Amino acid sequence: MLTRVFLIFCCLCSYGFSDAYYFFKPPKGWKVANPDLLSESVEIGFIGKSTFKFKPSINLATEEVSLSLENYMKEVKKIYQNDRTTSYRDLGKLPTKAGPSRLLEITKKTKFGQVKMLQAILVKNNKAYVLTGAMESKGFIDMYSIFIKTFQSFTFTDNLLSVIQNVEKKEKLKKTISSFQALENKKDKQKQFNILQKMITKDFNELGTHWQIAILKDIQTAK
Amino acid sequence: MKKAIFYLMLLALIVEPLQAQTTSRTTKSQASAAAEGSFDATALSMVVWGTGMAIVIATAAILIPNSTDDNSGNNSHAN
Repeated sequence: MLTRVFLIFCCLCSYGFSDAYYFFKPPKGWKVANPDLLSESVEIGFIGKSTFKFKPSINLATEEVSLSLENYMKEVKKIYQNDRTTSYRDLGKLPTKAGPSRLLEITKKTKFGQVKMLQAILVKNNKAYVLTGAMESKGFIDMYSIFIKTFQSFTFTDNLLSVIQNVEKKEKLKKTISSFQALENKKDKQKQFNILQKMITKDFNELGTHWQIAILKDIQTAK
Repeated sequence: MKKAIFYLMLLALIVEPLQAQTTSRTTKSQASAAAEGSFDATALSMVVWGTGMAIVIATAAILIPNSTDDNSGNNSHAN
């Protein structure tokens, strides 16, 4: 009996974890980077505008790990220690909506000038989530609070719809998703998806582009 | 009995370095997300606005697979 209860508990736990979504809110007006140009572990990147020669950017990288946050941090620091062009400072803990993360400030010398980065690292359920914001040294101070605010918006949720505050908007979206999922004809489905896409990009700006992309991908891949 | 102990010891001698090798490999690949994250952040920041940026910025069609909507390019500019 106990074994059965334990197995059911394990199944429920794994179901809950496997269904977890995550997103962060990039600053307003930042553009999505072409995913084809990103490294393997980098899931999404955003580029901002600035009056400086180079532009600020933020990206989210993830990887499966078997380490705790403390040990993962040790490995990260080793990488930066071994790179002669790079120096770093451990800025301690940074709370995010997804839980506590560790913050690093990284300075990198490049051929084109010095770049400063902030990196927030979080480990949860054997997965590392790394948010990195970069800017050339000159404009870094202006970007500091923007990077921190963006990192702090990092959220885990079991249901992307649950983060919508406006009940009316949420119900309208739910209905549109349901009618999309009920369709079988490919052409009708594409038409309804276009309506959904327009609705999400227009009515849910406050949740940010990353959430918008995540929910559209989820709607399209859901069976 | 002596033979059995000898084989067990031999097995332990072989297995231990193999385990160490596997552990070091695992450790090596760990934290690659942090390294790639900082590499990509630097690379993205270094792109100067202009023709180069057009390649770097994505449209919704690339981000959302199987989307055939030609007018969906606005998704990346939603904010």
